[in-house]
Amino acid sequence: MTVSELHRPIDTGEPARPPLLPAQPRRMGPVTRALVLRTIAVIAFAQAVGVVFVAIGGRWRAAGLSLAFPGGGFLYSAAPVAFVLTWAALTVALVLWWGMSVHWGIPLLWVLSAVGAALWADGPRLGYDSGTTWGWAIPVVYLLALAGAGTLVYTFESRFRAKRAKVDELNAYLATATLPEPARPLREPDDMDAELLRWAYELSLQPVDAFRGFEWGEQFHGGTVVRYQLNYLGWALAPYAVNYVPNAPGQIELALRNLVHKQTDLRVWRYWRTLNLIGNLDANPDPLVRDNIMFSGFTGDQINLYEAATGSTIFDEPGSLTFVWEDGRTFAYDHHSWMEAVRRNFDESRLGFFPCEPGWAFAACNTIGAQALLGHDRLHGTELWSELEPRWRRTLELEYLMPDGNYANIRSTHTGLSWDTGETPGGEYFTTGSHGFADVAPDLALRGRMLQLRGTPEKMAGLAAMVRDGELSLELPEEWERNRARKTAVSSWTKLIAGARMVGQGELAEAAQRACDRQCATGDTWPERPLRVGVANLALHLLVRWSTPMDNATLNLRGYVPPVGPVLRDAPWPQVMVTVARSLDGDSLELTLRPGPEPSTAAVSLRFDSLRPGVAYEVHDRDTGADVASLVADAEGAASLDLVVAARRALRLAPVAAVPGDGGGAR
Amino acid sequence: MISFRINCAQVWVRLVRFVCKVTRRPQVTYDAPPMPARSPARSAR
Repeated sequence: MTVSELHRPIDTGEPARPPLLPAQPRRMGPVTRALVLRTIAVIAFAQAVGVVFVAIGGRWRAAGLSLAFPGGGFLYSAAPVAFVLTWAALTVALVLWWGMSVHWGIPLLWVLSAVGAALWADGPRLGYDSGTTWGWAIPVVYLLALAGAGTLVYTFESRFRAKRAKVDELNAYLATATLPEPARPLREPDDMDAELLRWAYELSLQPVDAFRGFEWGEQFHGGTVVRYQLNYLGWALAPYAVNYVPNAPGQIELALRNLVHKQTDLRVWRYWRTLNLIGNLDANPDPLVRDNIMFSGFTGDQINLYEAATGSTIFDEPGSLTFVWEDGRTFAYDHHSWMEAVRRNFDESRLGFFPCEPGWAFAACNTIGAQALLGHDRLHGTELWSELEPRWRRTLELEYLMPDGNYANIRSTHTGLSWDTGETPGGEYFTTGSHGFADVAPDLALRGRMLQLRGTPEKMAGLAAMVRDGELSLELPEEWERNRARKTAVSSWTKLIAGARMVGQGELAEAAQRACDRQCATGDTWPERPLRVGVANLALHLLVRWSTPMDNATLNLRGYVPPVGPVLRDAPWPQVMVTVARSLDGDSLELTLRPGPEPSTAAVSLRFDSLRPGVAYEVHDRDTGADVASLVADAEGAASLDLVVAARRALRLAPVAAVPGDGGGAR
Repeated sequence: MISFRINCAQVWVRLVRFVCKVTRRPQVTYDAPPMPARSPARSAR
């Protein structure tokens, strides 16, 4: 039994209750406090040196004032332009610290501003005589330093106190409130689902080294990062595999497999060497050996879900995930050694969470890393997650939890600092990871969901009242995507659909789905996109769209379960596309076929297995009830069927003397 | 959590756009860049 299983939501009857928020929350966890104190000590030392320099006088005074406040010496040296330029450079350095792990950028500029001010002490002045000094700058610089430090302390303390003041009210809510059960409908894919699946297949099934239709741009942060597009597509297709086509794994298995293989393309993971060099001063290009959880954790999770959805163990083979660097060096991994690398990074981290970009440990990425370890344990019986779990929870609850139940998005593993970087609203969230803690910490998932959805049922009920005859007459405003390449309404619709499902408004979710399709459809096919949105956000939309009735958290916990009933083993791509293949009774097969991107006017051959040996089956049209064909399974339970697929065909394959099913449902 | 009053994500995108403008490269393309040229092997693992 793992700690998560021990920490199930407190069951005191119905409904289940989450753990309450700490009544006396800490300002910081022990590791964060140690890191922050270390940072303060370094700054205090610089200040002390600065005071000595100021006391010495002359050019040393200029240097000391720059140590007191970056660029302060330039003010003393009557060079205000240099002072302003110092702060402009510091702003860029702050962004590069976050964006490219340039940890040394701010300290370097700070020191350079001291050296520059000292060198400039006797130099020329713009509009003043050489050697002019402004004596008033001394108190002003120290006032600026005090104001800067005071502002940082004030923003930290005021935010902490505001959150702490809410604890009693939030705990009362957590102790009494109830949320509706989420809606988890078994959907029949519509025309837009088919268009989107075709788009996802064409992206995935092109040659492994081809990336037509993906969005390429900078590979460090944001919406043009291809590794995330591959992750999100893999995460979206995994629930499609289990919810819609568990009994026809052929096409989707290959698509999912290719998405993983594409992660090993040098152009996808090459960014890491640059980050490792800048942030860790380490030239090793191996993308798994150190940090980089936004790659190792995310793709590890993607590999688990591929295996859990399809049963394929191809990535368990040694060397099946091999990275080849520019100079020919190879870094050979497989599913197991990949996860061991993730675990090793967790173990070696002082904070308990390990960095994405060097020096930055994100709660989201470390939750996805945890999901990856848990998924591997479920699939392979290892204890990578169960051994780590107590420490992981401690880090989450002590180092990242804020008084109001939010978790900080980011923390510097060098300084302990955390701030709102603009990536998530407020720089915090109630749940995170791609499964919202549902698999790695179900009790915290419930608490986070309750806090996150506070007031949502009422809002959704208001929207649900607008649904008429299954339609929602609404258009949502378009917003910029993160890379600001375009505006889209799809992301807002995705949130609305997910929110509606989370509070049990299934009808609203379906109506919103159709409204989204109406507003955002482009009529385009790959390499363009069927909805007006970028690849990453479209893939996230698919993830929400297709994660019902089973979502990836459930799939991660469940692992692979072979399908029951007849299996469509072969359907020729790109002539035909399977959009539904599932057995609801374990005996018959519901099958929906559509023309693929290169349809054939001739009949295509479909090969079935897992039929009952020697038994006759009938194929009939689910829409009209008309008989389509009949076939007899051979001694191995296999049979073939030649069929023209010129348009959507909804079929049912059932034994002639059908035995009542066990009602097992889709797997 | 402290506040720097700087939206790093937004400034980052502006920096990227600026660099793309200066280097005359598109911010987003819909195909992969060419595979980097191979350099001589240093050591094999």
